[in-house]
Amino acid sequence: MSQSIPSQFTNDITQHKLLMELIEAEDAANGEVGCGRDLGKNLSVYLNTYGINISGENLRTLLREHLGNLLMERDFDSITTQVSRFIESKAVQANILSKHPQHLQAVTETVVKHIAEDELKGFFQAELGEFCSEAILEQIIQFTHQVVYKAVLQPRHTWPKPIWVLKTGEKVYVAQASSLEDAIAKVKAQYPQETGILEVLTVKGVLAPDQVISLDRRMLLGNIATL
Amino acid sequence: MNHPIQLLRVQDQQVVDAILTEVTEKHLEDAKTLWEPLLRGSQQEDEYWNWLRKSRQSKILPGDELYAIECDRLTQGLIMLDILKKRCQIQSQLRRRLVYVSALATAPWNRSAISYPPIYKGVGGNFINFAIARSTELGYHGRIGLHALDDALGFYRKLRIGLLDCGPDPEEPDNLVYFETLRQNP
Repeated sequence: MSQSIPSQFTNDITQHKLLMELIEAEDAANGEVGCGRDLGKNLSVYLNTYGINISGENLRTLLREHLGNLLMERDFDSITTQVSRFIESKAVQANILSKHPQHLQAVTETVVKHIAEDELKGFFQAELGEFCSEAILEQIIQFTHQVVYKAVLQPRHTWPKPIWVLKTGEKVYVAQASSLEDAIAKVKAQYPQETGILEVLTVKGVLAPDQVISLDRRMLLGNIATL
Repeated sequence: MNHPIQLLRVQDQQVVDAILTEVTEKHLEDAKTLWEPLLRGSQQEDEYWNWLRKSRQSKILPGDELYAIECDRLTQGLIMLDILKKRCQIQSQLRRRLVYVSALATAPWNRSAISYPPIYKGVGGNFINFAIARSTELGYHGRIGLHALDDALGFYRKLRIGLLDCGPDPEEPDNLVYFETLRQNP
């Protein structure tokens, strides 16, 4: 006669195992688990001024109109994020500067302007004119020109394939591939003797085309995530 | 919403019951009156975080959600999720929706650097599991993203949930390392 293990018991064992795995991960960082950025002391100023920003969708429309043949939505994401963050920082800075006047740093880099100056000026004046001084508007316009220029120089779809760093046992493999599956397939094809389970140490080239790979010695010794 | 979870009480190595719940005034009050004095001067990366302000922010900005872990009638951790405004960065799932962990912290007494031995373990891991569950519930297939604080890199690298270390984010003001869960396309 066979006897089944009560499901509650197996659930308890699974739950306990899961908890122990989570704790093992926490121990790897000495209990430090924090994530997220914080505007710190500037947050209250930011909250007072958070309404001072552009509509991401309006900027996206403008970008599509002028750069739709060169860039893609993923590039527009990046441009919109960068411009919004710049405006956010300027709104906070302006609020602080109004109490402690200083000279604003001018943007001096020369860039090719892919959107006509007048059109960009009209856009930002309509969106931010009532909140921002001419000097700050000018900085936002110049910053936007810079970001668009950089995006056009290297649109996301032209970025090289990401670089995957994989580990198994004593071996570390570095493979350039569009996806993890492709990276593993390349390793297996070029090193058929490799039969171990490949674990990802890191992937670079996802957030920027020219990311430097930096490996922590502890990562090589085994403190890594399994996918 | 009261979601039952378990933590490890370090002192006697007992697994104890706790709850993960939507944040209340009491949790924010704990962060203010109990956490902040312990964090002051600790050099911890979240020394100047103000959860009350984060809570106000979550009420203003669309898609922001705040949750707490409560055990022993005390707030053991807080997390802020953004379920609306962020998209995936990894090529194979680019621009798909994800749950972004805007902020996560465990109570100071659960950190070895402040209180040795710590009181409870498992707060961070339970929060990350919850973020994945929330992502699944929203139809995002468990995809989450986050920018880890430097001291916590080891934790996110060690979690066995498919979090990929994508390196320092050049668009992030503090160049924090970005992690994203990699999921097969549905």
